[in-house]
Amino acid sequence: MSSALVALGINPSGFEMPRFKDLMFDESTSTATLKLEITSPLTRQSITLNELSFTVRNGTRSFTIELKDKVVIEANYTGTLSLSFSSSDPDALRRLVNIIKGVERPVYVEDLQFSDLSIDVNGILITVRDLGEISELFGGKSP
Amino acid sequence: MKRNWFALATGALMLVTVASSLHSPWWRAEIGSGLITVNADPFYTSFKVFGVSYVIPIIFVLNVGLTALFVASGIALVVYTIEQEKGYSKHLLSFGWRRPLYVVVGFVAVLVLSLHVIPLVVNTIARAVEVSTPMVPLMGSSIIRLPSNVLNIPAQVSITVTTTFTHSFFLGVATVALAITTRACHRRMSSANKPT
Repeated sequence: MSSALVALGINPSGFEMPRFKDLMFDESTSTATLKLEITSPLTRQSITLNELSFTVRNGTRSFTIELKDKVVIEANYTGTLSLSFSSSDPDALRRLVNIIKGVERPVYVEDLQFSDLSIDVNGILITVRDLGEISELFGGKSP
Repeated sequence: MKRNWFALATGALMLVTVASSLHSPWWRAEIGSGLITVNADPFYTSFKVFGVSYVIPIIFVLNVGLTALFVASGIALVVYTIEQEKGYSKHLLSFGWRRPLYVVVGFVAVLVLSLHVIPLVVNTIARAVEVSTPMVPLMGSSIIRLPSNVLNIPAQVSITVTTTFTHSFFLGVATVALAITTRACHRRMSSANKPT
C-alpha cells in the first residue's frame, strides 16, 4: 500500500494534520505569525498557499485577516511553516492573538465569530461562509 | 525540371513538428496550479498527477504508430522533392501530403469529442456529480465547482482549469497549410508539363 502511495506521489506516512507550534504578534510590523509543524502530503509536487483570508465578527463590528505573502511548501518537506497575517485593523489582530493565546479574556469573547474563510491552495479555491464561534474552533484552550 | 520546394519544406516541417511535440504537447490542460496536467498530443500523450507522470499504454502505442507514419510521410515528401522526375514520386506525394491534414483534423475532432463525451459518461456513472459539457474550454480558463453534496462539507470548492494550444499545434497547422500548397503546386506543375 505504501509503495503504491509513493508511486502516486503521496507521502506514505499519511495526511498528518499540521501541529500548532507558536503564534505571535509583531508590534513593529503589525503582523501576526503562526508557526506550524507540518509534513507535506505530496512527495513530488510543491504546495502553494496563494491566499488565506477570513473575517472576525463581534456583533456589528468586523475585520478581515489575510495572508501577507504566498507560502510555498516544497515537495516532501517536513518542518516548521511560518504564516504571516496582516489586517486592516492591526489592534484587533493583536487582541485576537492575545485571546487565542489566552493572554486576554474580554467579555465579548463568546460572541466572536469567524466567517468568510477563503483559501487558495494550488488553484483549488475553498470558501466557507460560516466557521462558527471562536470557542468552538479552539475548544478548551479558548477563554 | 522545376522542383516542388513546398514538398521539401512540408517534409522538413513535419519532422520539426514531431520533434517539437516531444518537448511541448499540442494541447495542455492544467487543473489547479500544476496539480493535474493533461498533455494531449498525437505523438506523445501523458498525464501528470501530483508531480508524477503517467502514460496510458494503449495511447502510447497509438502515439508511436502515428509518429512512425508521420515521420515516414515527411521523409516521403523529401524524397519526392529530390526524385521528382521518377515515376514513383507521385505515389510518394500522394502518401505524404494528406498525413498532416488527417492528423490535425483527427486530433481536434478527438479532443472536442472527448471534452463532450467524458462529462456525459461521468454524469451517467456518478449521478451525484454534475460535470458541465464541455468539461473545459478548448482554449482559456474556467472554474469547475465541486458540488457540496459530494464532499459532504459545508464549504464550496472550486478548481481553476487552464487549457492552451501550444506552438507545436500551430506548427502542425502550418504543416497542413504547406501540405495543401504542395499538392496545389504539384497539380499546377503537372498541368503545365502536359503536352498540348
